[in-house]
Amino acid sequence: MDRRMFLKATAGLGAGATLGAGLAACGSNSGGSGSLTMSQYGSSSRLDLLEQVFALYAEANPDRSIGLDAASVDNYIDRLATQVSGGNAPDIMAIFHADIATFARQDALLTLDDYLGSGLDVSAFTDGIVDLGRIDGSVSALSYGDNAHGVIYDVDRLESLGMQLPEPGYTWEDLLTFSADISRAVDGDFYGTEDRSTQLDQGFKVWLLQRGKYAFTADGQLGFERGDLEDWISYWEMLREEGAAPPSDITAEAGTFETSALIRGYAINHQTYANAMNSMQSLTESRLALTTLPIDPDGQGSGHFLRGSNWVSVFSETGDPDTAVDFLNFIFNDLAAVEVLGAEFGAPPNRALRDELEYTEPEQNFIDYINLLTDELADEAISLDQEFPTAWTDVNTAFSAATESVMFGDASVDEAVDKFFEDAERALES
Amino acid sequence: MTSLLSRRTAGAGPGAGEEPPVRRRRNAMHASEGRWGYLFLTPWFIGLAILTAGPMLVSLYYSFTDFSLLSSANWVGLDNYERMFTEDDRFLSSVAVTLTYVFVSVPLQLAFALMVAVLLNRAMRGVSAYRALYYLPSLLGGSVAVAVLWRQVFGREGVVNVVLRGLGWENPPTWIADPDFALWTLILLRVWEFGSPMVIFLAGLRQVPAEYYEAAHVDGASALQRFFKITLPIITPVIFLNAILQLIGAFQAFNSAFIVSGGTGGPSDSTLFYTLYIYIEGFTSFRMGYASALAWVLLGIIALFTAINFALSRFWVHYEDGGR
Repeated sequence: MDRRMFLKATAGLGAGATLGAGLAACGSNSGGSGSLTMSQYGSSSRLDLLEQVFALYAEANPDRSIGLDAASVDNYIDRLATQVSGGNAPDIMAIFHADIATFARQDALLTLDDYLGSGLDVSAFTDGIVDLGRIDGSVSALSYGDNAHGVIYDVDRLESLGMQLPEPGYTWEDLLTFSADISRAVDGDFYGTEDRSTQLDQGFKVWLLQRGKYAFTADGQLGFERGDLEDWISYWEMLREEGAAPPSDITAEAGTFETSALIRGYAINHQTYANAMNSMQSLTESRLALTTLPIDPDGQGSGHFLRGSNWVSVFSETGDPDTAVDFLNFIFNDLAAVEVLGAEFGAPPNRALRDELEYTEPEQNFIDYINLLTDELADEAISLDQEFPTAWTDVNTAFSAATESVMFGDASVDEAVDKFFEDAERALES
Repeated sequence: MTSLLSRRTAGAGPGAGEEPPVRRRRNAMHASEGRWGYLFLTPWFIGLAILTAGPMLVSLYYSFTDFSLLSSANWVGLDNYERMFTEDDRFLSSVAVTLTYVFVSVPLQLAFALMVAVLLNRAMRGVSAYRALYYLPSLLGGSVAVAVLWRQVFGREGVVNVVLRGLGWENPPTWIADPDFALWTLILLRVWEFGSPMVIFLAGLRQVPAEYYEAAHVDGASALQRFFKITLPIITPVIFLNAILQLIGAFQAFNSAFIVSGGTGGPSDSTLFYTLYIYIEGFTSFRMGYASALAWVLLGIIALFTAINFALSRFWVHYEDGGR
């Protein structure tokens, strides 16, 4: 038993015992027996759909089977990392977009380049979506669906106020006046927009791209300057002062779809990833609809860009990479499989199949939105490699801390911006 | 097993008139009992080695590496420890949050537990029902369900604010979402879980000899004097025990902060318990080496405060037999 093996054997044990996390032993190394495991987070209805796809696959391939390894969203990634550490991760794993680069850089994910066009057909996919999963030059993950930033509005509420859903092309200035009007029109604790100023991965990225900038440059440095962040924080500070956006405590209590200001009845919108549409609609009786974030009239383009919704990867140490890739090919390109999943994971990347499916109303709204963006409005997409450099987690934490400190009234805009650049630069250096 | 049985039947008691080699046989008995004892303890020893001691040693090793959980570990010497004390603001704020939590919640909780124990330490009807009732929060206390409930009780539309608005406070704060109050809701939750120190206090109170009270009564001591001059000094060892246990427990608190803050330690790191920070570093930032170093420093911090506690105990803990 060499050192590496010892570490592997004890790593999972140590981590598991430390936090009392039960380690599910899942025999992933099936040595090419054709029976694989796939991990997935999400609702039980989503897991049911996956099970149906597994059944379809087994039907088409009697000598193969896929077993589900389900885990809750909350501890999904720690569990997966622990499994990877112990060398017993699922053969196929769903994985959050912000974690893919980390896993890939640690050689935990199988690179799929050799399979593209031979075993894995991506010819009908949206242009550029496959390249988003390139880390250090190799495709390490595939997106189940196209996605983009967007704003979900409560249209019933808008109509009751005699207002319309903002059309793509409205400006940040419009959002301010429009939201302030709504806040004034409704008595009590209700606001014309929620406050998402503390989320680096949300509207801020769109705001930046309208200025021709990214959060990070291709070589992993900060891609924006003090002025960009000052403007962003000041803009939202203004919305809060005008009563257009809610006070800090309403914002701080939000975190999930269920606790968003829209669902809790404090705000008329939710700024998020467009694929949240279906989940959000299932939480409210009110009719919801999607539109873009505002634009900067002095800027360039829409600032919106194509991104993946839910991602899937193959474990680098799987015993049967061929079967794993074959299953991915099935889930993406088999009509029956795509029909089962519908828009559950985002807009199906196979455009030919996407257009053939029947959708529910909120799903259709989402698909139309994504088609509009992809085909007309979107700017150049950015690979996960660039979006999530090594220091991403720390920079993200620094961003939340700085923006929150202004929101809670603990720091001036200047102080907060200083602190952010100090923390972010330290993180990027180490 | 056979050896034990044969020994039993062979040694069928000393016959009359012969001097049994008592001592030697007792030693033999001891040795064999010891052997059997260890044999039965084996599962526990294996568990200790594999599930506790092993991982502890491994984490000590990892604390000197840059282990990321996903890739193999490289030795980095004291870098992790250095980083902690020189350039990690969040480490410092987590220490501040944790010390506040420990040194506010533990004294409050002990005082509360003692008060309730004194009230329950009298002969009245239904006292056992009350005792069970007061103990209940501790049984549920560490559970996720209670933390979830707490999050709602102290939320913007929670029961607390409904009552406060009813009392005429128009716009009370959202306790769990306000950096100035969030930690205090967690302190309150800990104080509310006063059941286990209360039960230990009750046992301590039962130890106080009744004749002391009778004598004091005859001398005309008031109830307060009886409590401060008799009860309190006699139960100081029990207070000390509870203080040590609760201090260690409070340093290791995790669940309540994890649930109430949604795993972030927010708002604005106001509920970033040290243990929660370890978790975030290890499983969110994938810096398991650094998280291991944090964990060992926590062990040091707890050991330090426990040692201080013991050192100070000489001055206030009073043992009946005068024993030190």
